Amino acid sequence: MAENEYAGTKFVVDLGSLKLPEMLERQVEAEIRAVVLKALATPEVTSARRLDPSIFGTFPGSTLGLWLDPDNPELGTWETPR
Amino acid sequence: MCPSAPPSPGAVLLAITGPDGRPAYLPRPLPVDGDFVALLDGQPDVDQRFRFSAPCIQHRCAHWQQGGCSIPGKLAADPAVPVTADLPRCSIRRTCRWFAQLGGDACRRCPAVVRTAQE
Repeated sequence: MAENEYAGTKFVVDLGSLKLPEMLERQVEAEIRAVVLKALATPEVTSARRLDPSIFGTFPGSTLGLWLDPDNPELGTWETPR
Repeated sequence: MCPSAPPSPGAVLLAITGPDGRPAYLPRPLPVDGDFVALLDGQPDVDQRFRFSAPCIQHRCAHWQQGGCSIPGKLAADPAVPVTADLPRCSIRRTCRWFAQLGGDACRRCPAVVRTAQE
């Protein structure tokens, strides 16, 4: 079921000419994504990249990404609204 | 979109660090849910293993300065930041804050980005 293209894994289930109801398609897609995410959370699947530690010093909170300054709390949170 | 956000329900998985230490960008953004975030909770090196994207929160982020994100400019100004020749196959480029501000120069530095230094 898993296909390797461009050296990456791609899971495809071809149902031929069968078209599932849209709601069922979405449900199955969500379940597939959940299974894949669970696999990706396995530490052995990934490795940890490094970046020159000196680079972080110029950034607030030593963070190269979205960061709420704890000394200046903002209203609400940064979490993605549903 | 911010191309370097913490993992949270509603964020999307942008890239994964493979066994070779190189980031594998997903050709399509993969939304993450609370179950996945919970799985990562307590694991080591999450920021070094994954890259997540989430809507840019602009002024609510400590990096928002003078009407824009200060990260891409700082990365471009730092010679220690590795630069790739090609742009990564990225799923969020059209909505990426960094690309909007600095274009391809941001994208060529993006693969080197790790959100936090490894502890």
